[in-house]
Amino acid sequence: MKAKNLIPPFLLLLTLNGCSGKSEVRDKGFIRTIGADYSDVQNISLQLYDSDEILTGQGSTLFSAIADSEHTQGKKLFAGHLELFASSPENIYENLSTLLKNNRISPSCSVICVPENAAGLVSESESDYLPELIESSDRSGLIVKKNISSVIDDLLGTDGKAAVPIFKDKEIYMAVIDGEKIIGVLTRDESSGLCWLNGGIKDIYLPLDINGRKVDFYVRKSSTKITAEKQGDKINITAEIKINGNAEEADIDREAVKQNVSEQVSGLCAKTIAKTVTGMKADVFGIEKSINARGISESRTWEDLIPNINFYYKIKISE
Amino acid sequence: MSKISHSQLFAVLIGIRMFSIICSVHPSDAGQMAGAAISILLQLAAAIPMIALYRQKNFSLKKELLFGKFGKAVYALFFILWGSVSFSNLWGVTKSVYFPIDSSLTGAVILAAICIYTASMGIKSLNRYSTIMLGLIFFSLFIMILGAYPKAELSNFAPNADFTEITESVIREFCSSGELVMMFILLEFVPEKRSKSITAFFTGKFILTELVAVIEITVLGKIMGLSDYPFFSAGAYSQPFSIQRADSLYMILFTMLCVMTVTLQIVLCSMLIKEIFPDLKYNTLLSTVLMLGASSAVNILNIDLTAITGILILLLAVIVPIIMYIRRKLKHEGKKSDSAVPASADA
Repeated sequence: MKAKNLIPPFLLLLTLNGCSGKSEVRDKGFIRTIGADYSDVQNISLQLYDSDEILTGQGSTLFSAIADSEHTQGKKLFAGHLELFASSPENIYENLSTLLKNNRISPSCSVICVPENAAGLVSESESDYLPELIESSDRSGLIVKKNISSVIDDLLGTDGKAAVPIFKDKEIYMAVIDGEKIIGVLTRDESSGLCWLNGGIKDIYLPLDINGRKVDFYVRKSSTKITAEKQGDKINITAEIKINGNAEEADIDREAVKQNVSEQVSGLCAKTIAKTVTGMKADVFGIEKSINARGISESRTWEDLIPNINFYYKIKISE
Repeated sequence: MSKISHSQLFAVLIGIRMFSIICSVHPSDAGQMAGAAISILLQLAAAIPMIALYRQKNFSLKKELLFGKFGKAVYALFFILWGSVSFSNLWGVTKSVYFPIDSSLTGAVILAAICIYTASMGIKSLNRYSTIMLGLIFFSLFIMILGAYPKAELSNFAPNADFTEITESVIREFCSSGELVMMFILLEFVPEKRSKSITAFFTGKFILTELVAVIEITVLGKIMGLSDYPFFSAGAYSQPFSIQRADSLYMILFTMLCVMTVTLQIVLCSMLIKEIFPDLKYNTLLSTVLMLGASSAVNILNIDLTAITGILILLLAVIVPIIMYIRRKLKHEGKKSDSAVPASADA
């Protein structure tokens, strides 16, 4: 290669090294949690990584409120590592869409709904409190951890509703929301049933009562498959839950344990279905998707379809 | 004359195709998948005259191209148009997807400078570059599959598609297949195994298109409707690593494929301009400036080039080769009958 051919790349390397718009890490504030309330304007509170400082801001949109909060301190705020978005139900769909369309924000950022004063909750709690509460509750099978993309995916369904974790009375549950309000809050059992219906519960203990004897059943892992089948005018939805685990005590009737686990899990699922599908007319565990995936063409609206859906459970337990 | 091996031609064409897939703004669904499959089959059939033409003895595109210099000018115009489409894609992506550059125009100008340099290195360097890019494409897809696997929901795939949807998808897929025209010109540089290369390309194109569509559908679900560029969104949602910005790999792939696509257009365009105006200097620079200018005009006037590119692809990659093939056959038969007349007269 001729030496003169090397001149242009060297010039490009020297002049276009990407340092022209540089900003130092120490000059940036990395947002960890956002709490947002909407009345006529957006009110937000921000928590940053490695900082106890709480920033607050106000604006007509979410990002204008973030920009407003930036003025209260010297660092340039960066939302690319946002871990949790706590929002009041008003305007939640708009806010989540805004976050989703901003490619700097990871779509795997967690979402929690706070019935009132989400900004206040974020500003009053320790920075680790809410993210860790969500993590541990998800791990224990008490709630389903939801992120921006999964909530929007649910809200875009024909029912227009989604299940999200909710922080209420200093406890965490699951709630069903539409784009701007809470439809209803699930109880502890119903939230747990939703976790089973969504699948992926692992590493938890189920307390059993086998003929008056208290036994723990260890769930090593589990998976759930929702399938649809058309039968005349009706649609049969089957939740097939495969559980891998064992009772913690050896000298116990294995069949009785399996029977008990099966009854307990199907009982939790039945409670959830009664509350969400029948009561709230919400599809929160992929019923519509399973119907579409089977190519079952439905001209009926979601609400007309609900009375014609039958639910079945298949609980398979292996050791 | 520079030669291209059949495997290099495959790499170049797959790279160009991959760039179109990355820049696609249309949401994938069952109709799009079916339409793409039908369109690729039709394109394979449409490429038969091209292959047949190059199989003819002593065929030279340079000497026998339809309408001589005018024909070459039309091909050059197409490459300028395709280059401008590539620049427009660059602008579109940098506006929608987070790219750490000050402005889209700066990005395009820097990229143009790089393309001028790479084009000046000739087609041989481009071929080597495309081989490296093929490796990067495979690696990126492997990472994407790895990340998509735990997040993919098969229930997102609804096997419903109507005739109109499939037809639209067939046409759209054809209109985005500019590589067919490039293939027609590049085959001139491939001394052997042309059919093998083309068959491999269409097979690869089919697999790539359907694979990316499956990933987008199963990973994105209904969110695809909100996404400007489904490929990037699928990349952002299927993170195989614990770090959040693993999707930067797809940005690198996009940028490098953009350089490759634009460079190829510049190389082909400047080559044709040189054949039309042998004394003209700075062909490479001229081609690049024309592409940038056309792209700016398209963006400012908000022109949709899909129909124009579709018609040009049909004309330049299907109709022209068919006419050339028929013309050659007729000439050949004419020569045969000419030589047969005196023989019979002697008899």
